Amino acid sequence: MDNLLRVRDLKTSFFTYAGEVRAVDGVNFDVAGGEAVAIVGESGCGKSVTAMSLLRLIPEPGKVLAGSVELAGRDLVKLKEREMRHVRGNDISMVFQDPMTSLNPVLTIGTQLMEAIRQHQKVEKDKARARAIETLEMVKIPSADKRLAQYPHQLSGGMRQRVMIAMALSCHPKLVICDEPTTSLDVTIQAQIIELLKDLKKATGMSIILITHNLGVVAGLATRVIVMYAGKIVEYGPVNEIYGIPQHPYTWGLLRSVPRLDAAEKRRLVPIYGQPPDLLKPPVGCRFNPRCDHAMKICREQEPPFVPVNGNGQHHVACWLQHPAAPAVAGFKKGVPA
Amino acid sequence: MSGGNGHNGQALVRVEHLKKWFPVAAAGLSFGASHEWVQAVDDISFEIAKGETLGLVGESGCGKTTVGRTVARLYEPTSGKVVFDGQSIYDLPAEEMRRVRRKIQMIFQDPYASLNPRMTVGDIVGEPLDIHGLAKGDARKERIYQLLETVGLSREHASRFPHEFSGGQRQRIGLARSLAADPSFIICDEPISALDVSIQAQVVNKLQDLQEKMGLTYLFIAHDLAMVKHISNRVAVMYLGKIVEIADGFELYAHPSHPYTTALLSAIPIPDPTVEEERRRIILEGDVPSPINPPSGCHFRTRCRLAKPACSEKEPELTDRGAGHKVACWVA
Ligand SMILES: Nc1ncnc2c1ncn2[C@@H]1O[C@H](COP(=O)(O)OP(=O)(O)O)[C@@H](O)[C@H]1O
Ligand SMILES: Nc1ncnc2c1ncn2[C@@H]1O[C@H](COP(=O)(O)OP(=O)(O)O)[C@@H](O)[C@H]1O
Ligand code: SF4
Ligand SMILES: [Mg+2]
Ligand SMILES: [Mg+2]
Repeated sequence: MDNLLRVRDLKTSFFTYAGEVRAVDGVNFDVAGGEAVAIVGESGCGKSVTAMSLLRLIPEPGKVLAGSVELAGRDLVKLKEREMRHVRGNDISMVFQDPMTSLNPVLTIGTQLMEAIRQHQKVEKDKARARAIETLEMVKIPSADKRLAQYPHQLSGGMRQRVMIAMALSCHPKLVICDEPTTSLDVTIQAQIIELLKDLKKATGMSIILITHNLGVVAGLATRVIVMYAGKIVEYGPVNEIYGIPQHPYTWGLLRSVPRLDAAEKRRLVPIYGQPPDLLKPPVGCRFNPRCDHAMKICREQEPPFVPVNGNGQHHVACWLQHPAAPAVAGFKKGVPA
Repeated sequence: MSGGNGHNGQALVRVEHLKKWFPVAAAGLSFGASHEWVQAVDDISFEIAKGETLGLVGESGCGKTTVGRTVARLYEPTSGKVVFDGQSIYDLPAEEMRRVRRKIQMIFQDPYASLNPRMTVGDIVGEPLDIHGLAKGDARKERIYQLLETVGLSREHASRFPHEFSGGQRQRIGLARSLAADPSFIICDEPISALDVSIQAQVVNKLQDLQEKMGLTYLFIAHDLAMVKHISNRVAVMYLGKIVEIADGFELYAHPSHPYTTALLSAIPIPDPTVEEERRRIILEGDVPSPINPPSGCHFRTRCRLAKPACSEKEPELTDRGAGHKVACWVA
């Protein structure tokens, strides 16, 4: 598979009165054409800032400090703002958690959708209208032509999110970034939206970056998973390996802290104790060390390197347990230490 | 845990034909007299045994919070009965109700909104002690420290303010407060929905430990069916103001009977790609109808795959299909 997106050593900080918040601190990953990649992690770990950095939409006092974001070979970090505006919406578009904050409450769905279409493509009004209906049908909104005259508040949460997806797709982007697209929706609606994204991916060949803290949602949609912690990627690999043979204690922690609906017996949940660190002053060494059951002396002193595991070149992890001299972790059950 | 009414003990809470309708001004009418009603909770009955956890799940707007608040008598019911520890609470005069209220506590989804930002954590936790005149002076202080430690906070936290705490810690503050008056029944309304998964596990484990230690009874309201199954002995599924199915959690998962339950279960993602690949989703079409004019007969019939003409004529009752597994459906 050819890489559509290639992110290297991306660094984004916020320069607050209290100091530099290193929200994204040296992130590397690829997204292939037609692939869905998930970014998971607790809130505050840098998922949204990573996404906004790709689009260069970091608000003050934030700044992309370093790195490259190559989309089909072109480094977006180096583009002029005018060129970047063309990339947003044409090549990459975004779907946010709360459709209500990104839709204009006083404009009809039709007006907003047609505006989005005409902003990026020079088409006549009636052509734009036809395209708008077409996109609403694509996201399976019933009686699409009637919806054009409706206002956002007249739609249910699920329908609004479909409209947002329609807007994101209206110009046939190569990549759609979905930032917690189902978090504020009911599970039944969440299932509908995830099915929709799956169908659209197949139908259009677009790539998806799915940002979520819901490990279940990821399992059904993504082919690769990025686990982020405190501004860094701690584990990255094919979805089957991240769930089947995860290697990082933080990934273990995420998997153990949620009950599975199909569990045959009750097992006490294993929380990750404490809190994610303040990114103004992240811990020295491995950033996860204050919460890690396996932390060793070196973990508190030096940052672990990002090393390949499982010998297929696909799965990487940043943890000192991978060092040949580290003690072996025992007692695995279903891929995680019990 | 037994299959029937949960624990072998007797019911601590018995809810009978509870209804809570809210008036809404009908559109276009300028006279106050005519009202339409939001049928938020429409004739539901259930029991919770002492020491048991009953889970209550359903999509947003189906009436879960209204059940919780009406059972706690924070709302007066439209009709029906709640018997708590042998007393029919809606018949109690104010003075006696105050004594019972001590025993019934509620914790909420948004711990921040429910904590007064201008009060110290100590005073927030101590407020029920003052209201019910349970402790004064040094005894009050000691009790506050003890409550904070019970929920995994420390006594140093007593002099701080809510905004200085994380979401999970605030939920613990709410929990400490709800424990202050020594309750026997706690209604947990989406207590973990706003928290990160790792923090959810901390709060859920704490709730389980407290239940074991203090013999607490819970009504645990949430939309996350996996978590509800994990924490509950029995699970009740609500749809548009009605309980459509109620059973032991494992039984409900293994043998769901109501078509709504089946759809709801199939929508819950399982964190395992190999399992997810094999799963078949039952996608419910459309949205939940308005509770102002719910469909006639079975409320679910407009979205039901199995609906027959009979379903629009008469409401199905919740009937026992064996071992306490109750279902309200004409077909299933
Ligand atoms: N506008 C901002 N000013 C200062 N810090 C910010 C700003 N936006 C985000 N951050 C910080 O960046 C970090 C990552 O945030 P974010 O990417 O939003 O996390 P996530 O999406 O994973 O929940 C957090 O520590 C957050 O406090
Ligand atoms: N105080 C109120 N006045 C009018 N309608 C209400 C009130 N509280 C809740 N409702 C309505 O009752 C229904 C059930 O709401 P709620 O109990 O909050 O559901 P849930 O907790 O399951 O999301 C909803 O349609 C809601 O809009
Ligand atoms: S490097 Fe050390 S502290 Fe960090 S996750 Fe690995 S074992 Fe834990
Ligand atoms: Mg975010
Ligand atoms: Mg509610």
